[in-house]
Amino acid sequence: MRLDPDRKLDLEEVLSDLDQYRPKRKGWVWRQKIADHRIGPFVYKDTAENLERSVPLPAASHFGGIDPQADVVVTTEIASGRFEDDLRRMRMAAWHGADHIMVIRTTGQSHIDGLIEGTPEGIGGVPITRKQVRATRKALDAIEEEVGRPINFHSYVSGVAGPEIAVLFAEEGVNGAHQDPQYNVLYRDVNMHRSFVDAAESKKLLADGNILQLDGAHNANATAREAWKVTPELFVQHAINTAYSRGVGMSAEQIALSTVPPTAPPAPKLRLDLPYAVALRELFEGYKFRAQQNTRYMEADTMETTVTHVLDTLISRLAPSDIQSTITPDEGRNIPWHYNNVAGLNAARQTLMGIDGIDELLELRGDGAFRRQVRELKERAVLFLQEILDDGGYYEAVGAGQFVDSGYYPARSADGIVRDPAGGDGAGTVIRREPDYGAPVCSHFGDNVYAQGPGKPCAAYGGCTLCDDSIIQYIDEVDSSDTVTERLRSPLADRAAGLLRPEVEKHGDGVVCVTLFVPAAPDIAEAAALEMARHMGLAEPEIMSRRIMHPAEGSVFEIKGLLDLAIEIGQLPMPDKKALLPETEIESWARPRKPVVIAATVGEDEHSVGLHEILDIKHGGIEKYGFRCRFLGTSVSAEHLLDVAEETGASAVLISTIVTHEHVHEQQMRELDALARKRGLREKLVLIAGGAQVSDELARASGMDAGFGRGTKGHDVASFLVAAMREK
Amino acid sequence: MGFSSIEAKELVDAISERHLLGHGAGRLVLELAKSKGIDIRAAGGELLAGRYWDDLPL
Repeated sequence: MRLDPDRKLDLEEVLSDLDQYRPKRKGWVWRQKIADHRIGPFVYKDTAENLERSVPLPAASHFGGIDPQADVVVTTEIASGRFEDDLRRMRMAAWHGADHIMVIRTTGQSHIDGLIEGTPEGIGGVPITRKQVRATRKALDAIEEEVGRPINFHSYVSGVAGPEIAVLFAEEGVNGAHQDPQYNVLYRDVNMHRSFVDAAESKKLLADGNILQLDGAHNANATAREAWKVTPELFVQHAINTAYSRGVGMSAEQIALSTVPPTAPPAPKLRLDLPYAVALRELFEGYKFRAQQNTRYMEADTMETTVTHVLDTLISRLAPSDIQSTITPDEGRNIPWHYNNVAGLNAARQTLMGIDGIDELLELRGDGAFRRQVRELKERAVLFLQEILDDGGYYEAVGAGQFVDSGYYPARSADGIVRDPAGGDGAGTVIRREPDYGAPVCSHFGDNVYAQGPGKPCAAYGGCTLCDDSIIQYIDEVDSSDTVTERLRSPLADRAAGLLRPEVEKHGDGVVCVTLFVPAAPDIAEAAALEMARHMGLAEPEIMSRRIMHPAEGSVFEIKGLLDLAIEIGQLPMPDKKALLPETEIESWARPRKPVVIAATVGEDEHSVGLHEILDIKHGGIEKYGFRCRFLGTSVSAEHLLDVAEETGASAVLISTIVTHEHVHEQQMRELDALARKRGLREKLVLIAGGAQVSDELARASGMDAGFGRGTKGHDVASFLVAAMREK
Repeated sequence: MGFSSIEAKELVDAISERHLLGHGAGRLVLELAKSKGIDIRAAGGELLAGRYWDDLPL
C-alpha cells in the first residue's frame, strides 16, 4: 500500500486482505543522531535525520521551511475508541514528528482472560485485537514510507491476558509495550502471583522480539494526591521491574524506565523535579529513559498545560532522556482531540529545537542543595526497599498498603493502595509445572522439556507462529453488530458523496469549539456564553474551559458544541489560487534590475496603511526583494502618478483605493488605464490596484493588470510583478 | 502452535478442568498428534470433540 500525500488514507484499502498482511519489519528503532547537522541556515547539535515529508513548525517559513528532528524518539498517545479514526490521526501525528505511536487500550480489557477478536468499539481507548493491530501496522507501514522514518507502534502487555497479548505483539510487528506486573497489582487488582508469573512469560516474548519495554512506575505520581512525595517509591518500582526483567533475560537497552516530572507550576517545578530526574538517571545508568509529561495537575486551560509540558521537556533534555512522550494539552478536559495530538507534538519539537545544544551552555551543579537533594532521594529509596525486604517481601508490602502512599517516605499517610496477596483477578489460577511439563513453542519462559536439547522447541511440528507466521489463525470479526465495516458505513458514504462535517475525534462527529469573551461577572458571563453558542446553532453547548479575566470585567470561555451540518465539496466557491513564485526567485530577478514602482492612494482618499504594508521592507513589503518604491502620498491624481512614472522610467504603478461609494474605485481604475493609453505608457507599465473592496476580477474588468484585496501580502504582489514584467 | 485464540481457550479450559494443565497443554496436544499420526490442529480438534482423552501420554 502506498500513500499519496494529496489523497486521504484509503480505509477500505487498509482493511482489505488483512488475513494476508504481514508486517514490513519487526523490533524497536531509535533515531540516529547526526553531529553538527547543517539544516538550512543553522548547525544543530542534537538532531537526527530529516523527514522526507512533514509539516514544519509555523515559524519555519522564515528559515526556508526547515523541519529539524530531535535525536530522541517522540511519542504521541492515541485512542479515540475507534481505531479506524485513529489511523488518520496517526498520519497527521507522523507528519508532525511522532515516531512512537502509543495506542491506549480500552479500560476493561485488563480483566478479560484471553484475546479479544474482531474490532469492537472501545471506551476510553481501543480494544487491542489481532485485526486492529494488523490494520494499524499496515497503515503505519505505509505512513512511515510516506514520511521517510520508521514508526514504532506501541501498546500494553498487561491484565490477565498479558502473555497472549505479548505473543500477538511479537507475531504482528508491535515495536514497544508497557509491561510491569506492579501495574496489574496496584491499578488493575490482578492477583500478584498471577501477575508476576505472567510477567516472566511476557518479558521473555518482548526480549526475543526486540520489543522495547516501558515500565509502569509513572502511574504512581499520576495517582498520588501529592505526586512529588511518592518519588522514593518510584525508584523502588523501577528497581523491582528492572531487576525482574533482567532476571528473565531482557537486555538493558530494551528496558525503558517511564518517568514523569511530578509537579506543575505554581509549584517550584524545576527545583523539585530536576533532582528526582537526575537521581533516577544516576541510579539506573545504562537503561533507557522515557520522559512522560505531567498529567497529574492538568486543568482545562490548554495554554497552562502546554507551559508545564515545555518545562517537562526542558527537564528531559537536562536529565537527559531517550524518548520524549507528549500529552495532548486537552487531556485535562476531554478524551484528546486529534488536532491536540499535533499541538502536543509541536510543543515538544518547538522546545527541543529551541534548546538544541543546551549542554554547551549549561551544566548541572555538582554541589550545594541540588546534589544534597539528589542524594537524599536515593537514600529514601534504598531505605524503602530495605524495609520491604525486612518486612517479608513485595507481596507483604503491597498487602500492608506501602505503595502509592502520599507520605514522603519514611513518612506515611496511611492512604496507600492495599491489595490482598491471595485475592484479585485470576487468584488461584497459577499451576505448578509437573516434571514432564512441556510447551513446544519458542520464547517460553522456564522449565520446558522441549527446550532442553539443541534446536528449537517447536521443531517437532514444523515451527510455532513466531517461526512460521503462515500458521497464524486470523479471525476477522466476532460481533457482527460492532464491526469496523459497520462503523465506517456512514463516514464512507459521506466521503463518496463529497460531504464534509467538522470533527475533533471521530469521523464527522460535528464537534466544534468556539472561544468567547463575555464582559460580565463569571456566573452571568457563563450563562450568556452558553446562550450565544446556542444562537450560533451549536447543539448541546458545554463549557470546557473558563478563565476569569477579572471578577467584574469578564471571563473567557471555550465552548464545545455540535454543528449538525454537512457541506458539499462540489458546491464550494473555490477562488483560483495562483501559485506564487518563490521568494528567492523574485529577489534574484528584481535585485539586479532595480525596477521602479510608483505608488499612491488615489482620489479623495487619505487611507494609506494598506499600501505601506505592501511596499515597506519593515512589513515584509516588495522593497525587500529589490524593487525601488516611490510613495507619492494620498489623494494623488492619475495624471501626477503617470508624470512621475514617465520621469523615473517606472515599470509599474500601484494604486490603493479604499473609498467605494458610488463605485468611485472602479472609476479611478478606468481613469488610470485610459490616461496611460492616451499617453502611450500603457504597454510599458504594469498597473495594479488594491483595496479592501478590490478583487482581481473587478480590477481586470476595470483596465488593470491585476487587483489585490484584503489579506494581500508583499509576496503576492511581488510575485505578480515579476511574472508580468518578464512578459513585457 | 497455530490454534486461534478461541480454540486455544477452549483447549486450555478443557485440559484445566481435567487437572492436566501442569503437564502443558501444548505438550499434550503435540504428543497426542504424534502418537496418532495426525497433525496438531486435528489433535486439538479431537480433544475438543471429547475424543482421545484417555490416550493422552501422561
